[in-house]
Amino acid sequence: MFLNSDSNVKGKPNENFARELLELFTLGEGQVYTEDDVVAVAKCFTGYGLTNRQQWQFTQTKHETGPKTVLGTAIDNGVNGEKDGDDAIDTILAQNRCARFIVEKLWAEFIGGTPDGATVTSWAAAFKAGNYQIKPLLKTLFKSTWFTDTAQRGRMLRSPIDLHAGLYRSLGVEPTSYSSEVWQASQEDQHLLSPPNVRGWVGGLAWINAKSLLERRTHLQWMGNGVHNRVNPLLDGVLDQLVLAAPAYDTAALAATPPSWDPRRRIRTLLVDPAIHLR
Amino acid sequence: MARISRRDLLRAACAAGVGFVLPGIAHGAPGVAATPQWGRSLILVELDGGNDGLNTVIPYANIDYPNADIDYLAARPGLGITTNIHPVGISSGMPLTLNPVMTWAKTLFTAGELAIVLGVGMPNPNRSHFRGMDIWNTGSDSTTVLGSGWLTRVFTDPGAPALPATSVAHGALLSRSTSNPLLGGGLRVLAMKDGADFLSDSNGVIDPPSSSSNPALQHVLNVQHDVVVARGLLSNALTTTPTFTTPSWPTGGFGEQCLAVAQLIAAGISLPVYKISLSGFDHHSAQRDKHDDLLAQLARGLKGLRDALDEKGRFNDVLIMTYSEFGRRVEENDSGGTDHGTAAPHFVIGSTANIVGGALYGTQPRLDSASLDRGDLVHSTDYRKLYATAGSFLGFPTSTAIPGHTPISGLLR
Repeated sequence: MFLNSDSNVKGKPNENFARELLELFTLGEGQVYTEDDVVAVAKCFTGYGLTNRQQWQFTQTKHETGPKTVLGTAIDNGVNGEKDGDDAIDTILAQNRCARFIVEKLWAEFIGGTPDGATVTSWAAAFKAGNYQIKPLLKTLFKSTWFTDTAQRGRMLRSPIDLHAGLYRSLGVEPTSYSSEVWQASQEDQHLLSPPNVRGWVGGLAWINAKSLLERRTHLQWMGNGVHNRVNPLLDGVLDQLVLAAPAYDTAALAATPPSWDPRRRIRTLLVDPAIHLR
Repeated sequence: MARISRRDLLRAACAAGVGFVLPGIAHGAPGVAATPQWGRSLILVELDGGNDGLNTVIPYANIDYPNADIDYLAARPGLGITTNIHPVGISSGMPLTLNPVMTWAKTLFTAGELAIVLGVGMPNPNRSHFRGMDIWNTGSDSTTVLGSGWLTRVFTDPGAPALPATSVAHGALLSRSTSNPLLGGGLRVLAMKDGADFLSDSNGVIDPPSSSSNPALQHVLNVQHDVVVARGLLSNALTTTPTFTTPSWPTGGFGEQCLAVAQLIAAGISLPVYKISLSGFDHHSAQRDKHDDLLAQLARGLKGLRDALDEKGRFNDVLIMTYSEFGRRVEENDSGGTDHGTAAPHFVIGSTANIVGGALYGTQPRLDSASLDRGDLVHSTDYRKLYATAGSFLGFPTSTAIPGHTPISGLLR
């Protein structure tokens, strides 16, 4: 059960879920909440668990009744203990910091770089006022110039899955073996569906270090050899734009394989250009 | 070249009134190095997840201290360990033993090659994995966020010499490269699985001719450049991979990392810093067997490293040090595990020429409720003293990089 929630019981609160809820998913490490809040939130969630058939159930006898103070708000639902957890969540969501935190996460994922303070404030306010509906926030983000501006493109690094799946998709080619792509991604520090810990992957510049760069490079050379005769020749003239998010770095190598030549050689050159790692 | 004694050096330094750098002291130098020793290596062993110190170095009762384990057993009715076959000394009125699975560690302790530093932690401890590990990697106060690794600041200290041209890098990370005590500062740091792997994969990589204004692309180019430089230097040293006859390694990833480091050092690639990791310490539930397994791997790996390096005459050049983002709570939780805590003991391993092993340093935190801080142990040794000790071994001052913390008294010879 997620982060030991089923072991979080009256008299022995297990703080794992409460801590990560506050630190990773809503407010951010050390922001607004204190250690006392972690303990209080854990108590609110005591008694939450699963039946043998993995259905959610609440057990009042395992719940720690009595008043708890979460982020300055008193919570005590007595015999309706399961409401304590709901109230804890409502209290967390009532924090402006929570809305900002989520906006900043989406910024880091889709835009990158230091978020613009005023924009984050404005988007966060709308997000919170709109009851934390994700879709309108994403719409605002994707339509903003922060996202669409071409000067912003290619300034972040691709994760292994972005690199592998993204390239195959761009080229319109299926991998010969999905399982070896999965294995390869793990060699590049991304075990798919199994992040190293509950925070997920660090991402950003951390995707590229000596080991992961060499792993990627070896795989891209292999990929280049494998796909070159399967790429639709009609894509010939637009291969560069399809495959690279930013202008190629090794312009000399590319100039030596002009678009009008055999597209096979161009693909192989593109796939080992350092700019291939950008998104 | 004439041997220069430390006393002559200090006398001359005082007379000159200014700091100056002499060529490195010859082999056989004591633990404390007066000048940077590029031939020495610090091997950092990261215990990832928060090692439960209280089940690693364990209080027990004996005839002289019949009540020493009362608090421990009361807090850990399920998890408490009562087998005390590896006694290591007494602190705060508590006889202490290593966890029974750590036989190889006790062997090192008895040989004077392992020192135990008790109660390592920090004021205002942080119990977040991510923030906690960032604190340990950056050597900061728990309430301050620093952007550079503590070792970065040590090596980029204005008084510190630059990496010699013949050196491959400032450090190598054999695992968990995102947890990096050498972060920032433009240092050359290699992430690799092992030397042979690195060489075969880096074959044909070209040195990028120019730079870019795009920071993400520049990062890729920097890494690529570092790979090329490192390859050039490594390929000479690693024409054959060293093999060892003595050690028996634990199976699994940690054992492989230990072997990889031993091979690199034995091949003459003395990077100042190697970092290896053992993961899985975050035991919120069903701790006992899993923890014992990890400690057994740790003990065996450390012994293997020691034996391999000693076989090639390199153990004198190495200091091995464990660290972890925090210890764990005194009281067990309801799932047979423990939650995030604070202070914990750590190990420093080195040859008897360099360290005074077979001893306890710092003070064992007390477990009675009056001595705890909301259920957690109170630290007696600031973690940065470990780092100052490491700096002293490498011959690099740490007073600017981690101000206000001195080496652990008496640990280094």
